[in-house]
Amino acid sequence: MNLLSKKSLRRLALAPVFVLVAGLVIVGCYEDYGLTVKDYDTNTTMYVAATNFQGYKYFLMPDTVMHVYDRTIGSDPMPAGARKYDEQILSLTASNLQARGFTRLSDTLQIISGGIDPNTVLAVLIGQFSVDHTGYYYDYWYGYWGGYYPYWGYGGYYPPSYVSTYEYTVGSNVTEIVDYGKSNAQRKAAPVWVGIISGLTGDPATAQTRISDGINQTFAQSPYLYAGQ
Amino acid sequence: MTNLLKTFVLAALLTATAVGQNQMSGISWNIGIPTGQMSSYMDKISYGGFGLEFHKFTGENTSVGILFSWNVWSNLTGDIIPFSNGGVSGAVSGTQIRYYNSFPILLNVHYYLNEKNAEFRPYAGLNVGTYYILQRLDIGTWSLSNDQWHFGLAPEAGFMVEVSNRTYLNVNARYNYAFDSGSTLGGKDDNSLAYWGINAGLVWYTGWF
Repeated sequence: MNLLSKKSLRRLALAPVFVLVAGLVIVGCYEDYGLTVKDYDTNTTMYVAATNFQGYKYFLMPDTVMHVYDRTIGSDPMPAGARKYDEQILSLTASNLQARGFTRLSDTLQIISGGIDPNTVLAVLIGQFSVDHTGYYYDYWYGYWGGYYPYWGYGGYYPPSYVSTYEYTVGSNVTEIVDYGKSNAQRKAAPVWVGIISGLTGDPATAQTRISDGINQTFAQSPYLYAGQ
Repeated sequence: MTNLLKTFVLAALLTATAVGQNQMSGISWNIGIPTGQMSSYMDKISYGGFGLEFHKFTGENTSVGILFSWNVWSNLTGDIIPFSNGGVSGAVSGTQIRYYNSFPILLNVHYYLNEKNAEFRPYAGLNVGTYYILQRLDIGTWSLSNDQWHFGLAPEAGFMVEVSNRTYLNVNARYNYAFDSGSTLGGKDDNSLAYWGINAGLVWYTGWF
């Protein structure tokens, strides 16, 4: 092929046209959905498929949420305000279970005094932890042409790339329901259901609503979780 | 869209004095419409796609060629995702962004009606080759992806309408089917994919080679 022929030059002239068309298509492809903090919340539920939830009628639940954090960091590594939502979480979890027909027992003594079969009792444990995520990325240079150096009039030159860092914290609330009778008999926990809500921390304005919505959603997506008569 | 139209017109004008009718090249804007199993994960139409094609005529009414194209789908949804693994079942909910990227590389044969210089030429053809499919799910702060190569077929039918000397507006419908080659992002054994392509662009009687 003669690269200097008129035909070849016409073909080469079309190359930027193709690149332009491809670029227009590519730029328009990925839609910006305008996500907010709430959109990064997830609600996960897991259960042992062979469990007969209708065989349970009662539940026990401590009045404390366990907070898991690294005690080796600083003098008071527990995040500030970590227990702020404990009461809300405990209350909402209990009310969801009661709405599904489970009766709350005040303590284990009631099992004995009430002549209750331990195998009809669930134990509910709630824990929280958070994980910090940090990293870096190379950002695009073209975003800084023009407006970044307004005094130059025409924009000016900026280095081809630069490094940016990011940091965010994901908090998780884990509700674990275990078979009380089986756990006691085998001396180890026998979980039957787990509900996990996770989301970005650092937005106190929405935290209370997001926690409530998350806990309610974990029960809503568990239609099998209801007490027997 | 206006800029895109201007670009297509510019490409047509640049090829107005093309020589030789043994080869044909083309570029198109591709729309993708999911069907079957694909539509259960992605029920949105893709308007983001383009294709490049090159044909060599083996006779007055037949050609062989090669096609490269790309379609991308994305959808924002809050559907609950059930899962099951061994004796444990469950579900995940939250705002999700679901993506599909399809990159077909296909060889083809076409049959054209009417003579080569006709202003209107309907045609039908068959594409055979590979599809590179990238499936991705963004949920919460997590991004999960799965990519596979598939063997695929794509029958198509369309027509060409002359808009300038040896340059044609080209419109066709193509049924893309990528055969099963592994598992889906969610662990299903069958990851076959099918979507309709509605493609519109320009072809011109001059080759790159």
